[in-house]
Amino acid sequence: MKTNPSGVLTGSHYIDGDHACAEGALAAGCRFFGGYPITPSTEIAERFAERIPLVGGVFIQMEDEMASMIAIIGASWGGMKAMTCTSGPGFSLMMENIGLAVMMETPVVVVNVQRGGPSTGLPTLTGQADLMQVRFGSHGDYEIIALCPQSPQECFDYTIDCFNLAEKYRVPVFLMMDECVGHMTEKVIIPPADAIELEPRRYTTLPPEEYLPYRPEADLVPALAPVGKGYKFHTTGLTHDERGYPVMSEHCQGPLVRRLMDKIALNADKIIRLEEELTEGADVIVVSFGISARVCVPAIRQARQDGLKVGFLRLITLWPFAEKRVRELARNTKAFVVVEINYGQMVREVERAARGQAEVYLCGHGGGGVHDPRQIYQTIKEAAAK
Amino acid sequence: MTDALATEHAHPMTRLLRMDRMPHIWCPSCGIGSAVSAFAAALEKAEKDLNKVSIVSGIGCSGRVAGYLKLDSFHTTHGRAIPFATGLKLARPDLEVVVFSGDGDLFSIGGNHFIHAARRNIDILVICVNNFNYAMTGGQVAPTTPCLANASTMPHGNFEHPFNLPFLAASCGSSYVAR
Repeated sequence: MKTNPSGVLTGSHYIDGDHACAEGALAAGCRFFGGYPITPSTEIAERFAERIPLVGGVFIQMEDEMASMIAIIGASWGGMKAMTCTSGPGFSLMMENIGLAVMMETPVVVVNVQRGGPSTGLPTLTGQADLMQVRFGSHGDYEIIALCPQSPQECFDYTIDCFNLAEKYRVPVFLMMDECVGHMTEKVIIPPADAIELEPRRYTTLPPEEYLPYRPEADLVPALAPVGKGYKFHTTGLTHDERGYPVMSEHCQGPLVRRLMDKIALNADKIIRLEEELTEGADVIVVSFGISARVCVPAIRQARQDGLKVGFLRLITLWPFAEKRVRELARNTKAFVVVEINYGQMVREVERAARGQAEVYLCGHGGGGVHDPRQIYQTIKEAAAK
Repeated sequence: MTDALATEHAHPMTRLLRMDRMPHIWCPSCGIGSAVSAFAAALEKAEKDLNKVSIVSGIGCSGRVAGYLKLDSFHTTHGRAIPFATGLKLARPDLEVVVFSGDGDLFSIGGNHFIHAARRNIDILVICVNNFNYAMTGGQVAPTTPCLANASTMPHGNFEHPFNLPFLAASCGSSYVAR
């Protein structure tokens, strides 16, 4: 379906990633924003506060991030596309109700403009160290979807993508920005509204007496019922059966959790977005994402000028991890160099997927800045020399 | 029992209850059932369009109310029923949104959400069943437990002072408070 043109600021803009993200959400039909100010994500909230009332939407500054996270779940059940944004400690506070969104199968979008941690860490400086937290941070076993943009334009584009994936799979979807991308100002082209394709909400076509809130369809995702229309459905954070009623047993738990994971895992090929450059026949493949992927570019160029066969794999979808593709590449390359602003997170996934078929090198960084491209170049040289 | 007798003895609020979920989890003599009956009777008496009433609960014995009422019903996380209801109500102002939960849920872990909801006054109804302790988990002390009362986590008597819930609600800006 086409988007509502009222939220689409078609044209060429010179804005930062935070503002572009807010515009992407509005273009995707997001009409509810609940959030709590926290650097470096606050500009997203400010843009919403300014813009969303003009398109008939709701902005509310909640009392904390726990409230923000669950308010967007409530708004989503009310039929609105809803999102929040946060950073650092705020993301930690959202974990509880991220689990609720997973369990209730609520389409929502959460933007994390990553900063340095742990704890209060570096409020105004960058980091890429919430990558395991976004995947595993709430208790219990589950899968989510997380995308990672590298520019303001991608903040716009992939926010729309996040909303579409959230609706399609009824799952919280995360846009893992970072302070650099959030505060970087570049040209952003917002297309005409009729060029923006949206995933419609999966409402049931069954009458209330035949509807079961958690009976999955063919792709393992159940259809929603509209609130206020006589369906009188029940939903809970407890383990539940297809009626949505709590059932405290391993017989209910196993199939439910399996389905929550499989609806993402078995659809991974449709969810995963990657960018590859000269990976076929490469001796060394650099793997990176977000701002780090941009810092890799001069290092890779230098290494190629030196005659090294260097490929580049940019992860746009961080979760589900591109396990199958990394394993394929591992068969025909000597080594991977994983460049990320942490001391070893996605590198574990690359190692796991490579299964010892290729060496895996971490080019890490503690946060607060980006890599010096010379450090990446040195790691590529080291990997190629082995 | 014959069908006629069963009908005669059916709960008068059957139309509003999820009878397929009975029996409920509440203990004999617990007051939550009475509170639910009173709420259901009020919905009937006020001739509310039941399609337009949503109920939101948190966690605990009273948190199970959402699961027994035949309404669009949301059983959320501990303490967070009010901010869930806030999102729902703002998205759908045409709905009557009711939060039904307990004292521990609403005033301890959810206390911050309660005072801010009272301050905002966005037209949601919060019903608190106050049993002065955490009953579902075996009687731990709550912010409503009277001074000197024994609780499993206050075995030597509660030395803290409880909240006065109506005063708290009124002081934060609630437009209507009743006990």
